[in-house]
Amino acid sequence: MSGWIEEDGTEYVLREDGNYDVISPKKAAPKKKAAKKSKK
Amino acid sequence: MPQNRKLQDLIGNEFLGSFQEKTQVFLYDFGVLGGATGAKTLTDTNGNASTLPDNAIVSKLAIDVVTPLASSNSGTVALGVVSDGAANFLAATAFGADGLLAASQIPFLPAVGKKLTGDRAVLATIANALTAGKFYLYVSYYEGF
Repeated sequence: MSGWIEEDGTEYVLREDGNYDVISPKKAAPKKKAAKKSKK
Repeated sequence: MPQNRKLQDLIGNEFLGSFQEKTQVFLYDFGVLGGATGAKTLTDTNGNASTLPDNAIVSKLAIDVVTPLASSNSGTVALGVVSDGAANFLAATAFGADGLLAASQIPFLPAVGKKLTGDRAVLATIANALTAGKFYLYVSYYEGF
């Protein structure tokens, strides 16, 4: 097994030395707010 | 040494009945595994690879800290197993907190109970590097079906 992903999205990747790199889940980029239409 | 203690030391897990609680000991040694951020695969007391068996139901844990953990940052340690939950035994805990002190040799319960779904190595997941530390983790379990 080369690794797995935890329920919270954290990824564990097996290294050659038998230990694991831990990669935190990527946060979703905040959605851009739609520009408000200016009232004229 | 009392006679019954002598006998306990002579009887390995392989000689205990299938319904008796068994215990394995895992070692984290900074001098061998280092303290860099990541998940360290704990070894047996001789430094060899060791796993908990498939279907094991972990019943309790105890930690024997023989060299206090140290960190120049706010190092944390989580304890668990490969694939079935890297923080199942102990959620990420500050290196100087109660859960990781010598005084916490008293058995504690797994943070999240779970039956193992395969032979599983035990992990110590380190965030913000450690600079020292050595502990033995006693994992008790029942053989599940």
